[in-house]
Amino acid sequence: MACLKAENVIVEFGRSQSGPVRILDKVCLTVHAGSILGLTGPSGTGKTTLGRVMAGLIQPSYGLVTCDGFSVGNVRGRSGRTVQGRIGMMFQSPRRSCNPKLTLGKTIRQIAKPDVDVDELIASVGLTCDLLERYPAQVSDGQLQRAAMARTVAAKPNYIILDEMSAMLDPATTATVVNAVRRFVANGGGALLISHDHELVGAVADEVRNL
Amino acid sequence: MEWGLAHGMRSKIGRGNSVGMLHERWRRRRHDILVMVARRFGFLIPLLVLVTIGVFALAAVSPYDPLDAYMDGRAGELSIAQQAKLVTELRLDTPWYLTWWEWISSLFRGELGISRSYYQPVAQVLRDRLPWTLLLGVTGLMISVVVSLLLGAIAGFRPQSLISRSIGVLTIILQATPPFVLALSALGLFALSLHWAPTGGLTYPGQPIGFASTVRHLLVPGLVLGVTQIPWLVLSLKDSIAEVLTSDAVRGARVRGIPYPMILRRHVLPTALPPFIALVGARLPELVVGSVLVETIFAWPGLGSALVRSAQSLDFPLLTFLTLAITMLVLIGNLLADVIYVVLDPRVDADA
Amino acid sequence: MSFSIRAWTPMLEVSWNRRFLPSPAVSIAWAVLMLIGGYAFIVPWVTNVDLLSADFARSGLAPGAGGLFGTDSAGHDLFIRVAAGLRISLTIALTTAVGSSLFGMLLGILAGMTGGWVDRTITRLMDGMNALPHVLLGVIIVSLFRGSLLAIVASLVLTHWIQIARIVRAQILGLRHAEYVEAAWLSGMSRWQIIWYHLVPASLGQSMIGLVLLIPHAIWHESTLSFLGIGLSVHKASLGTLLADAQGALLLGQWWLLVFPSLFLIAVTLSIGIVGTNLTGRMNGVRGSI
Repeated sequence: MACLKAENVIVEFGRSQSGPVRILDKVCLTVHAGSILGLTGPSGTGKTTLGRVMAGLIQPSYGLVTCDGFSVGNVRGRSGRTVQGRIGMMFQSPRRSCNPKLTLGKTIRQIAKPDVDVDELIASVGLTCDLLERYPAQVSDGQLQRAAMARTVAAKPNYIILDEMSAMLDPATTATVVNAVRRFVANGGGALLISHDHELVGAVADEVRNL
Repeated sequence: MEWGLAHGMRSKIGRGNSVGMLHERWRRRRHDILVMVARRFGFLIPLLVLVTIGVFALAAVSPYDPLDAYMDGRAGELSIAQQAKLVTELRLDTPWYLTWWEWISSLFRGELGISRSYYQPVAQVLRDRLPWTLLLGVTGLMISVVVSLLLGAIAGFRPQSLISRSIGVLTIILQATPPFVLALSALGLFALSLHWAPTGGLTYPGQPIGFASTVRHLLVPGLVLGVTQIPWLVLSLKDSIAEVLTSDAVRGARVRGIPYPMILRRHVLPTALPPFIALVGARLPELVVGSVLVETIFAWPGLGSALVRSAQSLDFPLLTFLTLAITMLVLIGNLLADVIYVVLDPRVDADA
Repeated sequence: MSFSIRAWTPMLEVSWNRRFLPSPAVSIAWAVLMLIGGYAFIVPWVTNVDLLSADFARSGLAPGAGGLFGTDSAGHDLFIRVAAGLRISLTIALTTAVGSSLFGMLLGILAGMTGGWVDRTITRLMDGMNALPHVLLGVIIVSLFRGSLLAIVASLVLTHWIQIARIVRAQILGLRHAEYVEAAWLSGMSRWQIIWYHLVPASLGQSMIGLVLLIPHAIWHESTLSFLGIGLSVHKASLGTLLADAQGALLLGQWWLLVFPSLFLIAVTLSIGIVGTNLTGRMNGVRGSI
């Protein structure tokens, strides 16, 4: 069955006096296509790190991440070429995850697959088309995060990883984005929802893991 | 014994102890500094070798014709056979990398070749001219350091005063003035209009070299060379002094009633001086360029004017050797400044 | 990076902001720059003097009798010669600045983007080139290729690209882990698309300022080489060549041959320097402290 899977992932950073610091210790996690997996836990337990490992932004020290059976390598290098584009990610801060020098429209169109109707996509996250001509500095955080959601979906990934996506949003925007995630999952995608907000995760996810 | 400890321990740390402190720091960091020097040389020697290779390679592809140069531009008057004979005799038919290899190995044997433009061995040119270049360079350096320390301190301590603002404007204008414009203006003003100084050279025509006449001839070129470097030094010193004076450490010291001279010695000097010295080192290449121009304009018999003459007449043996020698001088001066910087400033790592 | 957010939205918004209204010095610098540019462009174009011929009857006339700026030793009107020299100096400087910026951006992006041994090699190259006395390199190259415009520009580019490459490399190293670049990788963009859409625009602003500030530097270098008599040939006289003539003229008391070319040389470097510094200040959100 199609899934995004982490097996025995160990991540170690740097070196303190007592050897490297182990952030993740033999973690196994499976995100199935067509479902939302919630990942919660207190801060500092490596939720974000696990999300980044599964996206291919960080290479685990040991262990393996596979996406639909292909190994997930470094997305910036040759080893990540096979799964590049299959895993999308939404970040906590839309300010940092959108290029301030590109209009929202350009940001989305640049990476949208040719069969994606950008206008419809924009409408589906509750934005109007005139916002597409604006720069990130000219829209609110909520609007920008919705645009970021549209961008993530526009690349047509098989899985999306949502890293604390609602931390900076008002409830209404959160609801819109959650709807977009649900639609994505209904169309056969898999989602990993990382959040410290138990209520949100409990309400949205099909299955919850505590790290 | 760091600078920060100084306030409370006034009575214990005697006045003359800053030299002892430097000595102590040198002793503690001697190893680091020696490693730094060794690593620098590990970088600089290959760099110098690469530069010489580059020069020889460039000469090979350039329109420069060594045979023509050897014949002082009259190679065309020779027959083809004569030319061919000379080419084999002078070994001009060897590829450039072999020429380079021969050049560099003879360099290590101490044979520097013959300068065509001075009709002298290169070693002789070097021996005759190096002392004068050093004299001019050191004079210029001294003048620029002393004047910038003075102006920078004035501007740094009273940043809003009229005099400090005028210093600011002056430095900006000086920054935009090329050294040769400055040198020519000084020549026109002091030598030609006011007749305060000779127009150039080392002595008056037909007179032997004496101390008094040398000083008279040195004064204007040295001053010009010094002034060309002043703007950068003043601006940097002014900024660092102004920064220290507004720092919390100094404000705290003043609140505690520590006498101002003490603050100057303990805070301002130690913080503002190391970057100043590092900048002096970093400006050395520019000082060399300034020296080349000043020597040319004032007919000062140093390496700079020899460099220009060798470049104008394409005196290849002298040109390559002078390039190497001057570059080496600059690199060593740079390294020296960095060593002083590391000794003076405990915050800087020696491995940079 | 708060810097890039400010840098973009830009210039329009920023320049209307009261805080960034140009100070008098900056306005004057712009005005001087325009005037000099117009003078350097229009005068040689309108007058077209033949520098190869000489008119010794009009040799060495002081300002007034010999036109606005006087005449040189060959009897040419200095007003026209300075304009022509200025034009050549500016052309060379502009070419150099553009060439160095392109080259610097290329190497900076390459170093910042690839990392590893490529980055180490380029960084070493920059350190090495920076340690050498630049004018000295220029002297050697130009004396080997005497009178060649290309050699002058090449020798200038060779020593001027480093600053731009440094700036660009630093900027790209900072951006490499920006989330929007990560998002771009994840969405399937290629390395070159990322460079083109994200990294080049981000480093463009700084590079443009670097380019502007390179111009006075290049003018200096070129005029130094020409002054030493190894730069351009006499009938393509730049300001430096004119000033080389000034030394002899000074001994004859013809001060105007020194004063006018120097004045323009200083005015050009000063005004471009002020304008460039002000642009930097605007970009960083701080007013230039002149």
